[in-house]
Amino acid sequence: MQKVIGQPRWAGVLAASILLTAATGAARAETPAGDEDLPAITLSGAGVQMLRLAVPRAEGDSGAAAVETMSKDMDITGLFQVLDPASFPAQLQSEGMAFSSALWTQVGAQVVIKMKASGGALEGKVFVVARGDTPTLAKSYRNADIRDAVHEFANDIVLSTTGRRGVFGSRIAFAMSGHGSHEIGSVDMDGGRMAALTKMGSDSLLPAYSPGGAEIAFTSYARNNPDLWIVSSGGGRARRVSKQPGLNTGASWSPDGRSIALTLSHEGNSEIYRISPDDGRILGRLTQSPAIDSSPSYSPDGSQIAFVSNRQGSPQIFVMSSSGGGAKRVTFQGKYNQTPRFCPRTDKPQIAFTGRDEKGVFDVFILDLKTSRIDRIVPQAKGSNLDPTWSPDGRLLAYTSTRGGLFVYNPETHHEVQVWKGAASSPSWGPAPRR
Amino acid sequence: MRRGSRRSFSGLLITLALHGIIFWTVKTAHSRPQEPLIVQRDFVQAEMVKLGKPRDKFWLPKVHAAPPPPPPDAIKLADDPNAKAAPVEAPKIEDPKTSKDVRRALERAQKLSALAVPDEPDEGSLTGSKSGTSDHEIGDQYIASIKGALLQNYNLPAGMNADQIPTPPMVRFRIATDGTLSDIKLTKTSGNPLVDDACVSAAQLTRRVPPPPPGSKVHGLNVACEK
Repeated sequence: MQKVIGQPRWAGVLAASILLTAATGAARAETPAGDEDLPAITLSGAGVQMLRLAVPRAEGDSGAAAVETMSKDMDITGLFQVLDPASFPAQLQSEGMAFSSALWTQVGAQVVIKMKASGGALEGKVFVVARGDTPTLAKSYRNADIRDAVHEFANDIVLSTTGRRGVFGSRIAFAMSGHGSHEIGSVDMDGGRMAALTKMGSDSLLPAYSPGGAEIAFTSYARNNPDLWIVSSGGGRARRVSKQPGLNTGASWSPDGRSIALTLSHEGNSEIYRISPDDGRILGRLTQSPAIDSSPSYSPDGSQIAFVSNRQGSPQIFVMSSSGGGAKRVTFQGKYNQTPRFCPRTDKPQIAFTGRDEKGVFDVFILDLKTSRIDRIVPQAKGSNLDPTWSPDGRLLAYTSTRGGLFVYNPETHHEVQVWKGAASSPSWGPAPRR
Repeated sequence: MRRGSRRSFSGLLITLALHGIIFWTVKTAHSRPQEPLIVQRDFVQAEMVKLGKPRDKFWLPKVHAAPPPPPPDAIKLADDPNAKAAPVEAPKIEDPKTSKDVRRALERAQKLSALAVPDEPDEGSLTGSKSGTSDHEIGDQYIASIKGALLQNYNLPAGMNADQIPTPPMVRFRIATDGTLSDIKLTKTSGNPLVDDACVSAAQLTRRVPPPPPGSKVHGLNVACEK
């Protein structure tokens, strides 16, 4: 009898404890979780933003020039949205080299550049507003020209914000319209310090910087034939390197500077050859096709050459081994693609080129060799844009336009700046300045 | 002892006699000659059915007819105000033998059960499942919607390389019942203030997300920001 009475009693206790446990668990689940118990997610696939940058008035007698140069440099990078100084309160304009993150937050700035410039001496500080009142970069520079000091500071700012140094101080060579003829000229990448490099007295075009930046190869009709000439990048007397009958055009230096690929037609048909930059000696013929082959461009590692050929009908971009052979067509859109330029970054296998669309408008395109994807980089309805050339860091493109002048474009942020307003064609971007 | 031995001896005799009778009966039955078995069959006369002739309903397959409508009396009974409603629940009979400890435990369990979230309704399903949408599924969908909202405001500085983000920053925030984000904090830095700022800004610019669905246990999130 004791067992019969005892069973329901124990069963009741067991049931009650189960109920208690379940109810406690339910109640616990509803209790607000601790911070460490919150679910965790991962965001990836971020978009791109141009950092809002403020360049307030700089101290010193060169302060105005420093602010002007820095503002333009930062704008050209396409990485920053330079805020209008007119929107800064007087309190911030007169802040000097001091910094208050609280005040700059109200302006909406994310990065603030402070400078003190006297003569060619520059003291610069960079503040990231989110970090507080401590500068993330503080450095002094001294140059003969304050512009050079500012360019150096700008390169350091780009380095500190992106991890890759800027290329200010590099120059862009191009064929410029002069008094009835084209001569070769060059400008700083911000359009400053324009210099005429040649006085050939006839049409000179298609300049190409050597890898070290000391020389520029170009084609000139000075001797009534399109010969290849080389001139110092600082200007001076040009020397004729290749004078084969017919075309000697479209030079592209090999990355080691020991050879130049170009188009020669002395055998009757336009083919791509490799010559010595010293004496123009032919080192090899790279194409063997009854079609027209032209506009070679070395890949950054020197193993490949992109070029234009109409061997399959219309002019298209092909890629072949730098020793010739194995040509492979890489563009299949459009009926007129030309002037290919390999991106100088080995980790970025891209080719920029000029393409003509169905409306007859020329524009700049980028071909990704990994994915075969082609992007039209310059917005339409902005005239024809031609002859792209990469910046030495592969971040920017320069090209000419029927709008007039020379433009620099950031394909990542689609930011375009006109850096030179004079007549220009077939630009070539020189190497980054030595530190 | 003598009485016992006599009984067992007489029992043995009776058993032997019975076995003898059974043996004789079986032997006699098998020794008699067996007569042939003749089965008498009664034949039934049948008529062939001609094609086209309607068959008798009896031979046709039976079809289940719809249930007959309820008798009119049943409707009257339902409308009868004097009709007694059926008891919903059987009356509880308290066991007088239940101990005080058990009663206390049961009472406490009932109180805690009242705090718990009621079970989700059987009908309705976000996933289309007949068994309804589980809390886990609701949570996943809700978190995905928050992620989408955050991603729209997550922008890293242009030109930023992947090596600029050695360790992804982490942001934590809470979600109010109306979906408002609050208490947004950077809980882990990437070492790059611009990257940290982009992660915090993603939450700050989003401001508000869809309100948590009923039964959601998502009251906040830890968000790691990768490139």
